[in-house]
Amino acid sequence: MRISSDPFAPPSPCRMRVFSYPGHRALLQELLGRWAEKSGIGGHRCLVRDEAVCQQSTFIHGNTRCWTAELPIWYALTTKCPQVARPEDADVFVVPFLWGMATSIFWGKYNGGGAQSRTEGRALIANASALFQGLRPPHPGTQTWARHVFLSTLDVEFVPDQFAVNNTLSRATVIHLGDDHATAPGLPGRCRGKLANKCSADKMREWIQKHRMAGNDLVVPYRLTPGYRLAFLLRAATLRVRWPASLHGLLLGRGLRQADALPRPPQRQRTSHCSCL
Amino acid sequence: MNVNLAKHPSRVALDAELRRAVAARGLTRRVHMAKSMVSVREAAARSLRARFCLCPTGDSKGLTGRFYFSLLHACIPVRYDGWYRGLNQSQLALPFRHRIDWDQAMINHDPRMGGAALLARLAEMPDAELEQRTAYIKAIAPMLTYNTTAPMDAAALVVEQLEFRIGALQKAV
Repeated sequence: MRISSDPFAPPSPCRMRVFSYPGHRALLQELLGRWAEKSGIGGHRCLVRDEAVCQQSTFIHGNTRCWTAELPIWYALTTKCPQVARPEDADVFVVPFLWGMATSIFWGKYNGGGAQSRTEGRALIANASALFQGLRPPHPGTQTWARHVFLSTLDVEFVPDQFAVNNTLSRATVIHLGDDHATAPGLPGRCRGKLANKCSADKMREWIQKHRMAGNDLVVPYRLTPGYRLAFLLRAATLRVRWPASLHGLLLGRGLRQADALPRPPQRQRTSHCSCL
Repeated sequence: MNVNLAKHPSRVALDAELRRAVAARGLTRRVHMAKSMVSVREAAARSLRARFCLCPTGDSKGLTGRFYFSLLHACIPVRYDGWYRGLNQSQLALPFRHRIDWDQAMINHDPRMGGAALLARLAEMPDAELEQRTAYIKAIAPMLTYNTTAPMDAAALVVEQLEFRIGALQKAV
């Protein structure tokens, strides 16, 4: 792909008309509400953004784990682009189900909320085939399916195998974290995707290659900031918050300057490493 | 090098090769070889101080979170594919190729050349190239963060890329 002539210019305003399936949207809103309530992080907004009011220490792995990039992407698609109510008017069909978030948000126990809730994500994924059945594009041809966007910001091997085996879904656009392989070390020929039913490593590999060659996937970076603390120093520079005095010299050495004094956000307990390292 | 060696046997081999090469070149004070993963805070501090951050593949064949973590700390990521797939830059699944020149932003080392060759390559990189690469990384870092309040974050670039793709599809019809 050629690099644009001005790669640092801000993107043009979005003109792509977005339709999101109402049933899925309602499910997503319900899920987000439940997740926000159970976690006690301070409301919906804290699942997307990291604000001073957000309580991040309730999760062992943080609410913005590396596999949850789809939430800010969904937020951008639904706030930056014009939304349409009729599928006939749409340029793109967003399927608002957050595979990565559903998979990972309740991994590990959280404080104050009682029992571990990892099973919630598993149950959601196991029942996700219902989502596919609910898709009703107005003109169910190849081009229309290619304009369906699925958010699955996991390693590509964890993309649900329905995409590989279903002729129409295999043409859809999938947003994922990038290059990977459907097998794991020590398991030659076997699928690593614990989330997929009876998934065939060969079929997945073939699908990944075809999908890539057809340009049907969009690769995105892992979600490390702003909520997840791995890159908190850069965040300090870009979001104008204070960084530890002990690192001041280092940051200056990198050309990152402390912004003018701003109220310091409340100290929170740091969460553990992202497992994606 | 701050990695969990247990994730892949190639990491163990690389660690051993690098340790030997570092000792042979007398660079023990300039190369951090962690025995185990350090804390996030220490990793951040060390990455900020470092010129290069080694990003070997682990149980995943693609890029690990460390790759982006390094970029956000203005530390040039060095990809080392322990799966020996021999992929070049254009074959890697990297985001936002319409905006980012990944040849400038990272180093993709061929593992068949070994750890000693890798160390030599990094140690002998001219200062001007180092400065240029580091400046470039700092410039692209905001594109790789999810910060919905910024004008050009990763989510906004996904929307842009999707719009290109949908536009191309509609033209093709």
